[in-house]
Amino acid sequence: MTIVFVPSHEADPCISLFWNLVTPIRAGDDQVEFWLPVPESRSAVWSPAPDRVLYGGPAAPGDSTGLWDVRYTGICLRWLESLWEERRPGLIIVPSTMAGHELAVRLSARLGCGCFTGAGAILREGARLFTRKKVCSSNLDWDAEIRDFPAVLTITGRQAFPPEDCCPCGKRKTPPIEHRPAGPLTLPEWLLEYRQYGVSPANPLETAPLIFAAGQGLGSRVACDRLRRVAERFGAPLGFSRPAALNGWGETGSIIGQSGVRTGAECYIAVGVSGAAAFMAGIEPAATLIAVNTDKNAPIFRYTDIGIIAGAEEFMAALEA
Amino acid sequence: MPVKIAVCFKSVPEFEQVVEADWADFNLATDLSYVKRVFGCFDESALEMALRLRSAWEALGGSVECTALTASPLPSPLCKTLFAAGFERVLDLSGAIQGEDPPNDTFPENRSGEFRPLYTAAVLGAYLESAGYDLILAGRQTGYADTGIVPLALAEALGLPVITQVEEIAPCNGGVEIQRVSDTGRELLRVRLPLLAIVGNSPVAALRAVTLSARMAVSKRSAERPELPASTQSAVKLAGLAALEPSGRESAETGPAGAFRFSRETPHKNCRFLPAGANLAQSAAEITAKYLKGWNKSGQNRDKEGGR
Repeated sequence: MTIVFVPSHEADPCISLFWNLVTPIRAGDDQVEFWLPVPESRSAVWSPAPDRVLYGGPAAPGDSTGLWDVRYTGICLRWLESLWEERRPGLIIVPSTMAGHELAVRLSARLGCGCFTGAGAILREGARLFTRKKVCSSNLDWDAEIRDFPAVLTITGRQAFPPEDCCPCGKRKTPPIEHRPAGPLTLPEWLLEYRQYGVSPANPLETAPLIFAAGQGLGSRVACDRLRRVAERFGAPLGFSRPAALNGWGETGSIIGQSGVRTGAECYIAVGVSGAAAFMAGIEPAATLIAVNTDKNAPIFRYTDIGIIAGAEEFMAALEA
Repeated sequence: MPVKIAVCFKSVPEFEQVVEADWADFNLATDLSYVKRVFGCFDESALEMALRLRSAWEALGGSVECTALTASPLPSPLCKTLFAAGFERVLDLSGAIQGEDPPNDTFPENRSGEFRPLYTAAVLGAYLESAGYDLILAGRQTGYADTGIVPLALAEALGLPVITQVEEIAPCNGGVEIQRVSDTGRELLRVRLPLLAIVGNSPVAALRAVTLSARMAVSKRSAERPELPASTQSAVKLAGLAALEPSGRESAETGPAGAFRFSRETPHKNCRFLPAGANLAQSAAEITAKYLKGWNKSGQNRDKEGGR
């Protein structure tokens, strides 16, 4: 079977996640191809190397996004469809980013094949393959069998370190490269105007080793701002539970959890967070978790290493001292 | 002609109210009727967004009709909330999910359509294809399964342009103006109708509160249960794809676990509680010394033994 991965660009951090998920379930004769919807940069180093790399594009002048862009989603889908017609992979795997998720579901509908989204693991049991994802607000894991191929998957998980010596063909820096230009970039007729603004830097929650988290127990935006200043003293970013963010106390991009960022820190300080499973889905299970809450029965204390039964304001005052 | 807006929504149990015994033994037949049902959080944003859009359009002299529709179970309190909030019509398509002829070997207890996003989209598409809506809104994902498949599959089946991760939407010359979030920032688009807009994390987070008098005014109203066309192009297409969804049925072929299984991790940390009250300062000092100081830019804690 040919397994295809569609990263958004050559340095996509999900490439290491792909290798970590696929290598254990890859059969000996399975081929891996990367289909990149961007022009080749000439500086890419592939380690481990897939068996083939296909580039799309071209990008618009001055635009490095390539086809991974809302204006060109239709063109990207047609490009992926044409590659599928030519290569006939058994699995097409896409990162579970905003754009990746849309491409995956729409591609599966166009190809007439099954779609499995948000897989945190891919399991092999003999000849059977399963995806595993968190469901029911992360209270359960759901294993769904991929019984028909081809299938399209999206994968999610914390940024992983590149695996070592995992490619059966050894580390190769130069796989066969092919170019499959997608054709001219034309705007869809339904799009009257487009403007990008507020370009986001990388989200610090995705890479920080120490994270503070604010929950509804903080009680106000003022208290959250105070916790942010405390966190900054220790060089840490501040994340939010979903209820706290949707109160307007923090940016929606700072939500930790199933509908937000899946973090990989080594230590967390959660203040006023109840510990709902949907939030805990964004917390690295192996990390040290310190929680502060006035409710000794709060679910979060089932997951914590250190707990303090106290109010947020008094705890912050103690840290500031 | 009024602008017709439809909002696809789903009700889900408040999962935090489910007892541990039901999680431990969960399957598609587990009775969660004791748990209150609420709107999916992204769907709730979409519902409120539709009502605000109507107000904005009417302020410009237009007329708008807002319809809310669901293929999930619809408790009466939620239905009344929608009418009281201002939806002209509420449609309940859940009977099509639960009724007569599922398209394939659906797990017999799975009458809610949960974990069957393509089947759900087929039911919605069967109604929407001939209903002539100018704008369809939907939340980006909803538990149980949180697949995020239904609205995108629906857009493909209906042949509609689709915009995802919508934060705000407003009427404008020629169509609607949409503010959306992307993986790299924010974007402003002006797009023609018809359109399917999928709502993500948005500052428009909750459906407006409704007064008791508004509820009483709609107390006699109930959701419509429209007849679905026997077959529509979109429904046939989606039903074909739905045959590829895991059915949950155990069989000799798939083994005792079937193609579909649930499991639950139980947390196993023993929390050490530090003193608070008069000793809180000492506890904070311990935490600061052991866990908060010494993180450098490469993510290593020089104070910890064996830091990576």
